[in-house]
Amino acid sequence: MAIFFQNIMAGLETGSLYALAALGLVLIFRTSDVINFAQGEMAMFSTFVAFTLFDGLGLSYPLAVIGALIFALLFGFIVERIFIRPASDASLVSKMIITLGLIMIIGGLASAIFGIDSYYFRQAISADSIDAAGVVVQPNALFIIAITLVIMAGLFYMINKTKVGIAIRATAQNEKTARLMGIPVFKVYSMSWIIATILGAIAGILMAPTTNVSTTMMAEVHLKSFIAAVLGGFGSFHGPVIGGLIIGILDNLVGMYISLTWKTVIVYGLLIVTLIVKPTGIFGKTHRKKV
Amino acid sequence: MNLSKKQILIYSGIILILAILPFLLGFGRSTMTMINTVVIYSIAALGFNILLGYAGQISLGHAAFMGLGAYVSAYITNTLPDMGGLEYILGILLAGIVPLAIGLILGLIALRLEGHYLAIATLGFGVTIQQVFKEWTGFTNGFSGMNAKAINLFGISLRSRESFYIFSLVILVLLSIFSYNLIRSKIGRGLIAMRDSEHAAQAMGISLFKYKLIAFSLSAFYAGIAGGLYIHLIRFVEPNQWGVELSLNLLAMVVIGGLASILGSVLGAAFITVIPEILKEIPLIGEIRNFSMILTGVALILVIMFIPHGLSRITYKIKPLVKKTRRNKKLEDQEVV
Amino acid sequence: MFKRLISLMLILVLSISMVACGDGESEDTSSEGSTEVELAQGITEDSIKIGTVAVQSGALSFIGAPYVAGMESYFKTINEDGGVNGRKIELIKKDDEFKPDKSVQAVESLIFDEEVFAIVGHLGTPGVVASQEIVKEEGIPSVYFGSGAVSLTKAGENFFPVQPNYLYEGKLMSKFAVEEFDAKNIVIMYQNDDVGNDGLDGFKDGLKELGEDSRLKAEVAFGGADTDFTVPIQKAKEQEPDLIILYGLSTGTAGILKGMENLGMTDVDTLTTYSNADASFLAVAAPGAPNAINNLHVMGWLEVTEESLQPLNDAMAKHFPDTPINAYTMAGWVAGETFVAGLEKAGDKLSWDGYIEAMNGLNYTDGLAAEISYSEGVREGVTQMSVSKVSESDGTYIFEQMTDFMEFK
Repeated sequence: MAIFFQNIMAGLETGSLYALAALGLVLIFRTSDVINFAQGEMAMFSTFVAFTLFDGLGLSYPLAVIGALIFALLFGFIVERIFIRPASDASLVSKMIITLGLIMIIGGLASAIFGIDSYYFRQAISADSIDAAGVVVQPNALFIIAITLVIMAGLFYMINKTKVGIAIRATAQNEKTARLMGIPVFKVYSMSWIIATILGAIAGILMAPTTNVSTTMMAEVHLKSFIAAVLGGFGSFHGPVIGGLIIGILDNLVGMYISLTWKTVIVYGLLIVTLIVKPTGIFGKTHRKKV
Repeated sequence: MNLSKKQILIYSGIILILAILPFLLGFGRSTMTMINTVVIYSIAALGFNILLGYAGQISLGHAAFMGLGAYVSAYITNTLPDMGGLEYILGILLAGIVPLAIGLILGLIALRLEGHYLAIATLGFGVTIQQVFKEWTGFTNGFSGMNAKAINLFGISLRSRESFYIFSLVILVLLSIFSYNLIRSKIGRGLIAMRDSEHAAQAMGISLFKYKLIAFSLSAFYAGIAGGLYIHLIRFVEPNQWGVELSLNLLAMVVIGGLASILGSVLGAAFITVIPEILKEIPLIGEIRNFSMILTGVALILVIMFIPHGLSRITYKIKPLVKKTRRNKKLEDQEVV
Repeated sequence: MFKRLISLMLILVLSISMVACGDGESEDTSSEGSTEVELAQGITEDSIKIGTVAVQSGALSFIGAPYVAGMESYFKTINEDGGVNGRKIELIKKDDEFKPDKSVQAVESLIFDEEVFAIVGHLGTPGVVASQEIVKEEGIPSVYFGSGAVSLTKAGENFFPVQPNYLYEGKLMSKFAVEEFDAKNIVIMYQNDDVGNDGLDGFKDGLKELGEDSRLKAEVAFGGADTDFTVPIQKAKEQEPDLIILYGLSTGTAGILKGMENLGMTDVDTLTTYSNADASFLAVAAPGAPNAINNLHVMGWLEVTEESLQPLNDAMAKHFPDTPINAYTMAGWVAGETFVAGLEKAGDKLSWDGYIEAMNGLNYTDGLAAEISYSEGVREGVTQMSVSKVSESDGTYIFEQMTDFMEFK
């Protein structure tokens, strides 16, 4: 039984990070209609900035993280302004290709600037593990889950109860109408890209202790966040979060009790099955389209 | 047939020139290998264009079909006894047909999904099939990869890069003609109607599902054939190359070259394959780590931003510019402006 | 309709005749210099042109970049000392992005366009195997492969593999597991890709040959890029092992060690592959696993001491100060060492046959590896390995050799 709960704990921990990344993905997609393939690379870059501030410049951990988040803010803003906004009228695939180009540019720059080595980055909280009835609980894991919940709560409050949130939801629903209503749609784009990049940076920084800081560190999280977003459904903001947590837990349970080598395939299989039953994700809503 | 006699002659002429060009320019062997891979990727891009450019469906798992074609052809030509060349024809045909069948099955499952959901589902398929490549050692030899022989058609060996070029060029031309006819046929018109507005097409009695399935399976067929040709050129296949990166490259080829354009598929394949290689050869700058990767990314973005309809439609951009400059000049001369 | 058919037939006929023509034209690929007694291609009075193919960009550049840097720094050092018999070495580097089709292109470019004397250190099994036939056909010497392909030992007289492949290492690990550790409850945790699978197969084969299969209790797979290692570690923990073989590259292995630390498995001996045999791996793994790291052991095929590494460290500091020094750097260095050893022995007989002949009697012991030798028909590469353990001083971790060099006989 202890093993079962251990897996659930670990699943919640990584699932939270998938949730953060997936939320960023969906936020960008619903407002600016782009699937941001470069999300993982951008998160990796921000994490490297955090590491450089911490290790290279000797800042304290909290300061380094804040510095990285400020960087992520600017990063998201710049990328959206320079690369995405000029192409806002282009088709979905064209925008996809732009983010593909971004993967190459950001990835290449990261290697050139930060080198190709891996580096150790500390956990957010380095306290000793607690043993709760046979289940080893790491304070850091609890911290990650707590942070995710806090961010979720904050974001949901913002989206549902503030003016900025209304602007985001309006743009997500129907851009032209939102513009007619006087909503500064371009500002909403910037906002969502900034939030998404910051979410990615947080996910990367929290992921770093496990995967080490390297140019390929976000590959797995990135892929899983796509699955999470699709599973939960692009149509809502809570869908991807729950999708992320499910994926995290499922991954571990399938790996433990069924098969480690085939677990990725099985999880994908379950995703496909879900999509057959609910084509727009678990929490998805069917879109209405104009003819 | 809607091509005038004049157009047929022009196209035949262009194809003949393309066929002789490498010999005239005396390309070195490694350049010929690269050109051969361009032809192969053109075939895959051609099929992908049917799916994306005409039917408007996104797939991020098509690399798996190409890999499947490669493994099928390798397996068949390695297992069958020497039949004087027939085994290669069989191998390449099956390299197209098996992915077509798998594409049919996968399409039945996934094609009810839309847009990004379909994209991620196909991503999942691609990863799954790639995992099968890695684990099914009986068929694919797993991680160690599989060797294959060069094509030997009735005594003519296609070992040399030049002869392989002609062979694959012929196949590309045949498949292009097939695509062209497909677009002009009822199926093609149905696909285009579907791409422009699914609901309107449905209202006109077009079965969306059926046409999506046709497009998906055909694109898998093309990818499989490309894979089959690949394995007989490089003569080695392993699971790691048929992943998300290649699928994304196929997508890029079609978009850069130009959606819904046969010429576009070829141009896009050439762009994505050749540009990084050229960039690597630039002295001094080419030595900076990952520089070619950064520049390729920049090139991708520039093309999308400034030539959004693809390289094959670059004239759309140039003609109006030329007209505009001429008109301005004329106005200047007449001292109106 | 008819007109289309005619044009189609025309194209086909012309094409087929092109094929027949084209076939003749390409017969031109005679290997210049392989039968001449005089100098082969790539040799001039004062220079020797060689080429290498390795991944320099993309996700796997962490292997290729230090590797090529190590190789290049070795050649620069040799050139600074006057070259080999008065000739300086010119290294042409090609990036194949670890893709077999680009690798084939690179090899062809080196042999036919750049006309190099030899290929040194071709990195990456897919590219190596894909271009094997071409190299064999042309007869160009290819020295040192950054690859574990077993076929290289039987590929031909012009192939000179050096580094042990993972299959052999796994086998030798089993011998150490039985003789050195005397472990009764062995669990092997392997990375779920070609590296880990080869190691796994080798280990199992080795145990079988020694008649000790019963010692292996579980085989647990993990992904090198995994974000969570809880499940594989738990599966290992269930067996209460006294030795865990960690067959994976640095990221995955470091992740496993950290996970072991978190789950309290800090008393078990662990043994990992030579790809992790360097201080930079320890720098990444140790901070997150301060207790578990003390039980870590590593296989090694190089005699690595502060003294023996001095030339490499100096050369890298001088030419590539920003590139990490790790097992890959050392491998590249050894590639350079091996090639130059043959070159020095060949003296002025710088034809391909002359070089191969010189390598055939080689017994090189001056480099990082204990001994590199070849004889006619024997191309096994290095077969002696040793086990090192972790030692710590002032917070810095290094590996220290613990056993003698041993072979699997």
